[in-house]
Amino acid sequence: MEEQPSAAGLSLRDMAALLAVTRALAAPFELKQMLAEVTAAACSVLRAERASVWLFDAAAGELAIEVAIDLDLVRVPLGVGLVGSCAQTRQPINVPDCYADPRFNPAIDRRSGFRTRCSLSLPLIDHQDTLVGVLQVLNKADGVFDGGDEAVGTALAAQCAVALTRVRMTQQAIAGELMRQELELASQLQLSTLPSAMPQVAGYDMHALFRPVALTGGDTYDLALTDQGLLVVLGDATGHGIAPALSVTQMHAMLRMAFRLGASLETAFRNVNDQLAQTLPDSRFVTAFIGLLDVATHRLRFLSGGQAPILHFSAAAGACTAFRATSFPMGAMPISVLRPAVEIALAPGDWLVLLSDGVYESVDAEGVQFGRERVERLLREGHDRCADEVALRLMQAVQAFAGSAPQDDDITIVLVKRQPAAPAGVTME
Amino acid sequence: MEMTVTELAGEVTCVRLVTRLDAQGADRIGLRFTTAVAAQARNAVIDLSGVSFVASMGLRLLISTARALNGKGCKMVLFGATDLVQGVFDDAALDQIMPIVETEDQALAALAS
Repeated sequence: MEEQPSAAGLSLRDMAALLAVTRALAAPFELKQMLAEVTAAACSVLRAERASVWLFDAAAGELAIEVAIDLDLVRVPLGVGLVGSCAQTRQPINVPDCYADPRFNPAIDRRSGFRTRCSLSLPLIDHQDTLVGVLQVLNKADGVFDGGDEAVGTALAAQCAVALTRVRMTQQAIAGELMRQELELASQLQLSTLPSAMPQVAGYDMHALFRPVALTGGDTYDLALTDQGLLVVLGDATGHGIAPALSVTQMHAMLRMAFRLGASLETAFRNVNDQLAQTLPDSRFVTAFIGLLDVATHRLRFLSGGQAPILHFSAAAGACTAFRATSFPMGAMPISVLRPAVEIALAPGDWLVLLSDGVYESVDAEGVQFGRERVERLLREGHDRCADEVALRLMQAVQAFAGSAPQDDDITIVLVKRQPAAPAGVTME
Repeated sequence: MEMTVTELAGEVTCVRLVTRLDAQGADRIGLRFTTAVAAQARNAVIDLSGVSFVASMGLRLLISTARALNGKGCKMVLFGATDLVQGVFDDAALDQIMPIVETEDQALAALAS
């Protein structure tokens, strides 16, 4: 069958070859493989001895060779040489005798050992009219490149440019997805350090709620039964994101280990502080409440490194007592003199309320902080409710107060409620 | 001016702050403050009489700057805090990290002690 040229001047054989290339270019998602496909297709369709792809680095204003035989990385400024000129003018450059063209750089031949006779440089311009690079073919097998080759080459280059853009966008998406997955993993690791369920302690109701700003947060908490009593921890590292998350996770792990080894409250506090002071940078420290509750005597002893206010809601008084930190934020410096632990007695119906500063410092549209008063009012009104309900109401109140403003700090709520005394004749579970 | 830096007799840096040390305020002056106070191995006194409010990010700025200065063998002393600001310092036990006094004279005396 006789070949009839298409409207673009392509023969049926050329058209078939281009369609085959289009199919081949649709598959790869990896740049090296895609570039190999492009150069192989160019050599095949244009019957060239060699082909190379130069990718445009817009930031540097240079073209860098990505696929070529016998050549390591070569970079060419825009406008320099045949490739640079092709990129600058965005037009094909067909040179039948390269050594006669002043734009040709014979140094590359000298480096590769290849003898270039003729060349066809084709701009790679994608579907958004963006210059992707230059496709250059060298030495047509049976002579020099002609007008027909330019037409075929231009059609091929358009396909290659779109495919290369697709690969680049895919690679960027994959890099973004990998980053997201790593953050997700860090988040899962951090969450795995938090209690999976609240300890079941007769006569107590407790609940904790952790809502980080990012996938990872700078807060942590713990509620765990140890030989020394119920361990209650709220930690808040400066900032939020991965670095503070690592700081609080480090502190959390050290505390767990210290209490598992039977350390006293004071020994654990001092040692963890001093370890953090050695390892954390100047700008990072952790405010932390660390308490041990004797669930038999209902006496809570605590030390607090910069974490305040610590609220004790008295059901009998219907009011809160706020306690200050006993020490500076953990890790800020080694402890020389440790102030004594604070001891409070939890009467029936009393609450221990620990909130990270993401609650107190949440601001409304006018820049007013949520503050302690709102927390205390909510406790007065809801102290007869369950701990999980009060935690949820508190979170909802903070969100309603902030309105449409995005949450800008991690929020952690730790509530421990001593169950109220049962009426006479009723046994509490 | 949110921040004025002067040099007092005896090679003491004096920084007077007139701002809210909340997240925005601390972010705004953070780098300038740390550079002014901790870039050189020189004692510093910080006038807080113009600071109306301190939040956790403000505490962070003060502590990290004091730590950096302590690392150079020098001291940072705070003075002039309002009752509201002093309450925040007391809550966080900040006095255990750096001296907090009422007046500039007391601050200079604290440096000498």
